[in-house]
Amino acid sequence: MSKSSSNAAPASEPEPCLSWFVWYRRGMRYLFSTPAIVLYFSYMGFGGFARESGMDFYQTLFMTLSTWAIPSNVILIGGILSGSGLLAIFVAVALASVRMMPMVVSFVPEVRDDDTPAWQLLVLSHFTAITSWVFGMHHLPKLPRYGRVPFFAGFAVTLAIVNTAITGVGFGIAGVVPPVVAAALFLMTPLYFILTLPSAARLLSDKLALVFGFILGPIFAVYVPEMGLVLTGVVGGLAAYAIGYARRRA
Amino acid sequence: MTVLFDSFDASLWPYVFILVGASLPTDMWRWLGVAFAGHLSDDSEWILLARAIANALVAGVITRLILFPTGALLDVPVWMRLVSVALSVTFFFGLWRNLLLAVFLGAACLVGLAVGFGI
Repeated sequence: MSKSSSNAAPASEPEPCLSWFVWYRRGMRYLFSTPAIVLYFSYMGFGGFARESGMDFYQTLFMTLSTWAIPSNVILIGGILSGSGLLAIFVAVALASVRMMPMVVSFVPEVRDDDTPAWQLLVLSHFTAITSWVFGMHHLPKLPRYGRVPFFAGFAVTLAIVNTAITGVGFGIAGVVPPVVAAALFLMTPLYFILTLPSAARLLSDKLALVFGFILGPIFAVYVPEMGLVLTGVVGGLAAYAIGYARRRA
Repeated sequence: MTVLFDSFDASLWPYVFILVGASLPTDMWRWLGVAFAGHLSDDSEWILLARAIANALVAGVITRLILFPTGALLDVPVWMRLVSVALSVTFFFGLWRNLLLAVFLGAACLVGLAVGFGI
């Protein structure tokens, strides 16, 4: 106690300026973690997919950074290839991206400090995708509040920038990689999520929601292709929450 | 009238198309999420409900990526994809909780099966 107070006393209050950078770098360290590495392979796969679909190099990089969600970009490219109009693509991407809203709603209370300005949350929300969401839900609760925004930014923002470069690498080596390896690259992301999601699911309702989502996802995808994903979330999520709520009250 | 990716010859048009066609419909949900989160605390009932819906949605996206994929994975039969996933999951939860190894094992299994059966 004496050691920490004597060291920290003179500079304890005006320090946040420096701490931000320290926290940012701490987040950046996870660029070498397994989730980040697996995502690199996914974006390499996406870069190759974009090239084979006839996209332009800079447009492909722009897709990665401006949208920061592989499913949205895959739908966009699929739409362009099939000659769909802008409105149709907009609607298809919007339907597939509804997940972002509950993800961000549940993420904001984890990352926010009492005085975090809204613009920082809006910027950070752009970098919230499945990988960084799982990362945040897992790591943030263990950190002091004031360090969470810079820590998450250090991971998620740099992750997006690095993956923009990796997309370019994937684009460049597209013809070199055998199709089978490209297929394996595309399998790595869902595989990784299956293995890590249970660790980010804390409550009974979270775990049940995963199970329901895995079961309902393919069923709804077959019977109600357009609305399948939304229904999976609403039906699976509501049921899981209801069961969790009943258990907590019992 | 339908506005297409190559409707206009302007060099910036594809970027506008990407912004409106993919970035905006993805980001608008993120911004709505920030708006709806308001000042709710992380253990309020609404947040727990949102978390359950998010988990179900993410799980749904994942099964879709495996069962109804796009790109190169489409050329690999669905049973090979499922066997690879099953092997990786069994290894990870049953034998050794090493993420990187489990993911690469699944990927290697897919390559092995595809090459072995001559895809």
